[in-house]
Amino acid sequence: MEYDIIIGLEIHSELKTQSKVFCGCKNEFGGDPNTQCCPVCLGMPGTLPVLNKTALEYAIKAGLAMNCKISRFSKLDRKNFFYPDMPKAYQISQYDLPICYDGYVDIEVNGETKRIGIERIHIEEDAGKLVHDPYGQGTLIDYNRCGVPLIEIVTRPDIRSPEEARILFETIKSILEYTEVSDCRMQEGSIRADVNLSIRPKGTEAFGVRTEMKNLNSFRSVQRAAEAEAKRQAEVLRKGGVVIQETRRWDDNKGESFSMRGKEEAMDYRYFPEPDLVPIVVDDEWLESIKRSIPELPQSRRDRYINELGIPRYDANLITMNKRVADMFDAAVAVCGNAKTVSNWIMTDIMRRINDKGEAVLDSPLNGKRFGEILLFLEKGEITQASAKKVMDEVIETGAEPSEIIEKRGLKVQRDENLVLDAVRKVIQSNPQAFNDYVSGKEKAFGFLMGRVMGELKGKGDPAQVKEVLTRELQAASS
Amino acid sequence: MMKLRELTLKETHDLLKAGEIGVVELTREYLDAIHENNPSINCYVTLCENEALNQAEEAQKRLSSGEENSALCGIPMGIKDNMCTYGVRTTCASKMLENFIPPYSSTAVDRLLKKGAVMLGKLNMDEFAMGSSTENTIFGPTRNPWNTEYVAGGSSGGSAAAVAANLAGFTLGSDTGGSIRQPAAFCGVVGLKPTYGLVSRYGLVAFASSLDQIGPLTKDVTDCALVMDEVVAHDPMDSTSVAWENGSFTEDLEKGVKGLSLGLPAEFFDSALDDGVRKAILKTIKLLEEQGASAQETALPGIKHAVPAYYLISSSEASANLARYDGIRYGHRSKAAKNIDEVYRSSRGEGFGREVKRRILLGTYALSSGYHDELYNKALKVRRIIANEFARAFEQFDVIIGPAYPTTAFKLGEKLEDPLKMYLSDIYTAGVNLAGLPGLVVPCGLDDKNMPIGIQLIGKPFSEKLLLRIGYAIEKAVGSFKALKNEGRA
Amino acid sequence: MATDVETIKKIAQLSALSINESELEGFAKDLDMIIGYMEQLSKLDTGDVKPMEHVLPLHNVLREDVPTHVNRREELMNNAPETANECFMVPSVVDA
Repeated sequence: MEYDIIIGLEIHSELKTQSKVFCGCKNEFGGDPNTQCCPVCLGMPGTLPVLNKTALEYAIKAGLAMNCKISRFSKLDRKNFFYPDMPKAYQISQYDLPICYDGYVDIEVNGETKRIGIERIHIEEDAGKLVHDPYGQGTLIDYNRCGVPLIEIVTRPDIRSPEEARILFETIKSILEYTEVSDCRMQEGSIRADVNLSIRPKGTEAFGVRTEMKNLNSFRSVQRAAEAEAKRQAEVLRKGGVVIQETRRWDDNKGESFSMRGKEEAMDYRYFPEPDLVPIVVDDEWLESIKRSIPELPQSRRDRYINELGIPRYDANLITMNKRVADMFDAAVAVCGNAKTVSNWIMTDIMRRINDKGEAVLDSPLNGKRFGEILLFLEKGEITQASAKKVMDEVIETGAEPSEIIEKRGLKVQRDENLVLDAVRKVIQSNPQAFNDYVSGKEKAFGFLMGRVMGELKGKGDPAQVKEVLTRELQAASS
Repeated sequence: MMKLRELTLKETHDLLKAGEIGVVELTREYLDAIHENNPSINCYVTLCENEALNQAEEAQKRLSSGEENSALCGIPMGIKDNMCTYGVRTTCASKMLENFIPPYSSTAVDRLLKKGAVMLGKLNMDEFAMGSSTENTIFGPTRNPWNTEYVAGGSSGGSAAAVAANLAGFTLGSDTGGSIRQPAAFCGVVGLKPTYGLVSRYGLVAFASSLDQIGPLTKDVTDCALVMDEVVAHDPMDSTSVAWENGSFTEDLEKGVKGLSLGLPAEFFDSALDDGVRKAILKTIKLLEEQGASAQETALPGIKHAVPAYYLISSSEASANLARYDGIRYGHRSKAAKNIDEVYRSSRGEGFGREVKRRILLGTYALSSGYHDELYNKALKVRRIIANEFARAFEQFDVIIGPAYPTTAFKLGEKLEDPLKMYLSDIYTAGVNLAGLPGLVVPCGLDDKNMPIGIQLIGKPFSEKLLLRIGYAIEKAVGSFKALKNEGRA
Repeated sequence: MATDVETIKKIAQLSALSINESELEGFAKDLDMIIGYMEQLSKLDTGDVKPMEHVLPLHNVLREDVPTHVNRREELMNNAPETANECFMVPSVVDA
């Protein structure tokens, strides 16, 4: 039997405020264990939370960027459960009145646009971190992350394939980066997704029983976990079994998920309004000022690239998906002037570097300005493509300015007519076989000779000039 | 010769300011008296002798140099043991926090210390402020200074007894459903539960966050106003804190009661009310009428449901507030616990007393799925009904007046076995917390067993000055507190 | 309604409280009586009255996003029953 896959995502993203959501502790990744804590985020007796205004505004901003309605009256609630990473034994979250609701995000799947509903976005606090004590017999707790502001984005079950799930995750990450509410540093766990998945026989309406896989922190693991879970559920059904509603843990190394049954038995969170925090009222004026602070979002930037810069849709989509890449593009175009050249180089060179080494290249000295400068040298024919790559490598490695590198390494294209002529003549003389081949009409021989001349010029020759001189000399010599 | 510690805060301040007595001398007298009398009263659970003497010296310097003029500078005080005090253990009278030493202070205590008040020590209470007799405590019950066979009331029993026994110039208590007012009535002292939000709750170990409020227990009404002047302030650390912009709490004290209207809710004078208490209350109201106030019966029918609504809301909030005591970051950890589940369950099982467990169970039940709407949510609706009834009453009356408790102090052990009966007696106090109103209790007489009777004044939000003004008139009319006390002891 | 021993066990589990077998009976009796009394509320017609969570009409009490941090780890961990490597410590949590 064929099945439809039904997926909904819950995405948790840390907000990049200066301080934590309910106290003045620094919101900073890293730091020695328990050095970014205070009596409030440690939930010590008698301490009280006070809501961080920026965290609230960031949540609203994220909601607006995802086309949500903003609750004019909202409140915070306590979600009660015991776990050692949660010092108060309740998480301050939002239950029935989330700050944002009823929005949508458009994703690009195989060149087509698909709309995924956003059910709600609410604000809550992050938990601490548990680590196994490598020497002892216990679990160690570091509460540095405890109280970092989070938003939870809950999508509607509109996703129909693992690929769509991955693309939606990528798209939402990109929106959060564009709105500058989150760093979305996946390796630091600052954005992670839970995948809710069920299957149903094709052509039927009713949803099947769903399972939840928690804390997936890469695009790839979202897609893989969804693929594996859809397959597992189909297998269960084929064997005549039933899917059990449960939480499963995805093991990315093993490529399979495990039931966490017994961990989550009969969770009754006993939500009730947080008496220590007062309601949130958002008026028109405040909402407008937050709206005005939202920068251009990936979709409109993509459309601008397509319509105004003539960038192919596929390229524009990929470049704008990552805000830092798009920012690099813009900065480079501003210097270089030729958007298509920049786009081509990003699609090939920069994307390859990102694929090979991760986003480190975006933090390297090869910023948009330097990237643009290198491409400008190339545009003006002052360096060759091969040199351009070399200069980029060296900028990344040493942080030196492109012009200095070109100067120091003598990478400027060799245009001295006499020098080129000398090289051409030398090559023709020392390669009689190739010369004869050319004369007898073998086109390939021209390329061979061309390469020799370039080699003679240490790769610095201007290909157009070399070609022209070589053609002229060959004709002169053969006639 | 009269002992210094029998003087009111105001009288003491005048002598200190005139340089006739010294802060250290005064502090020593209180400390000596505590050594002598605390074993029989058991109001102090932690004594801060050295710190107090250091604070006394410091206060003396500031007084002498004129750097500090606050009426509280140099006044020895006691603090209920549910307010965090930096470096001084804060136990909530619970095994759970028996060795907890906070690395921070509650805002209220901090404010008083900054004004030069001298902290003698921490005061006994019902565990986590749950109780009406200061018998639910790991330190043993506090006894009523008027007769040590009787309870001091609760949960701020230590705070009331310390003032009544002249073992503190004044004290702070906390009131969630009557925990300042009932012990004040039982011990014959003045106790004020301020409007919700007036005194910062930061550092007050939470029982029920939407009801808890810190307030003073003092020897007389003037003292109460003086403490309010220093303890009330907006606190950015407490989201529910509000600013007071109505001037000094002392300024209206002597304005009298002429022209004021008093409402007597029928529900406060029903058959549950002890006759002796009724007589004293009505007699006191008569005295106010003689001074030009008018009194009239009224009705607050919702009050009948105040006790169940109060216990459901307070226990629900408490079940979450007390969930943090898990033996991981502070507090009792069970020695027997071998896995994480046992760390939670056994630490909490061993660390909490019976009444606390009862309330946690009640609150967890009321919030659990299936009962949430029927119990917790319903209680919140009843809360609004009660608040609305009070609001309507204040359209007609300046204050509501009545008893604070159906009886005077009862004997130790008398009510321990019947929790529901104990709960039901909160009928006159709990509604005030539900509606967030201020409530002042002032001594107004003695019953036939020579135990004090307190009268309760309830006002609209932020009407503390009016309550203190009427309280002051009562004090003047029934005779001063000290005279009353002597009458009791005669 | 009855809060019997089984109910008490269930709520005790939810509130992470160990309760001795000998106490179960007593708690069941107390809670049954207390909740029985509280149920007078469910009979009350509260019409369309809105629940009252807060008594004060406050809203938007917010902090500016300014870190006020000082590292006080030592003081903050002084009360901890068990610590190791600058962390709080508990017996092994399977899921960590």
